[in-house]
Amino acid sequence: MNDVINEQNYPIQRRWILESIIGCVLRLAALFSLILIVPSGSRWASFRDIFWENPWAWVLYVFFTFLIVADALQRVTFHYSIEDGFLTLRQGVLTREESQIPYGGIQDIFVKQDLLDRVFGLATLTIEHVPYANIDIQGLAKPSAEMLRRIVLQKMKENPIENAQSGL
Amino acid sequence: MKIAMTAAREQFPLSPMKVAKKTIIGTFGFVVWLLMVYAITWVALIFGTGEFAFPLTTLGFVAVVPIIIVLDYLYQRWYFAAYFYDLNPDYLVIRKGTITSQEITVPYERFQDVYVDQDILDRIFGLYDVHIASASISSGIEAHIDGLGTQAAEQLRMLLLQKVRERITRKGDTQQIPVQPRL
Repeated sequence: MNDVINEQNYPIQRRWILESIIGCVLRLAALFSLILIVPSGSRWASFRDIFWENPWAWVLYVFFTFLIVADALQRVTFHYSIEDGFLTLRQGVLTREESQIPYGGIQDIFVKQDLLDRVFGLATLTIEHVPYANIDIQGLAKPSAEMLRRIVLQKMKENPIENAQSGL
Repeated sequence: MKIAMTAAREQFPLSPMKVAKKTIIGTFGFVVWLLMVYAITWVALIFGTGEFAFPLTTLGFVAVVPIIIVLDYLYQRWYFAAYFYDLNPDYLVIRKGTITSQEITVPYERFQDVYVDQDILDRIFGLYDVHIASASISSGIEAHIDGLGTQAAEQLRMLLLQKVRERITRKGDTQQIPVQPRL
């Protein structure tokens, strides 16, 4: 496994954007159902009042559109590569950030699936690195997430810490 | 329901009492929520319509409770069956969740802490939780195996400590066997 592994080998799936859109629409629907449950004044407001003429609704529309666009841009600009000594990340839409993460600092690895992930067959790989931060690689196909986890664990084994840091 | 059997789960089995304990917790949480809704309904009835249908409303709320107990029990059976943990040569894997899932992998070298605890219901049912933590915050929250019997908890903890010790004493350190904990 000396070859560099990056997002071309285990890509972030296109359907993740669809998942992101559906997630935003569902959250929006949940917020609106709250508005609909609480009656305004003595009688129920009309749908037109709530969805169209209500300025707050437009704030929500703009906000959720922004979230969807941000997710899409993030997918395009997020790059990872698993190299020999380091895990390299390149990310950032407006700002650019490149970080090289030594395998010694990685503590544990999560593979998570929420409800929509389950529907779309996707998973999030979270690599927990203590001095740096958590690295979330969202929108991977489930088998890719598991394969990547195995590769990172292998790298961690190949790059042991000089003085073991276990507190035990 | 097929139980997610692994060598580790066979060796350190989860106690079936875990299902009972989790059903009690789940039902209790739901009853608290139900009482809140009930109180709100009362207030709404008094200040809203002024119609008094308390006996019927109360009966409706009470009738929901047994249904919830059955559903919760079935769900906990499912959760119990799907609970997965395994000891690989280099790392520990714990996976929880039925529809959604969370799977944590912690290499033995990264263990910072191994401990066993019990809450009140655990003491009543004779259950133990084995916690493992690495240096990350979410591992402290997520990495634990809940609902083991006395012997299984004790042995699992011993084995995990043993594995950690094997890995961190490399350069001629004296090998110390952990002291048998009293549970």
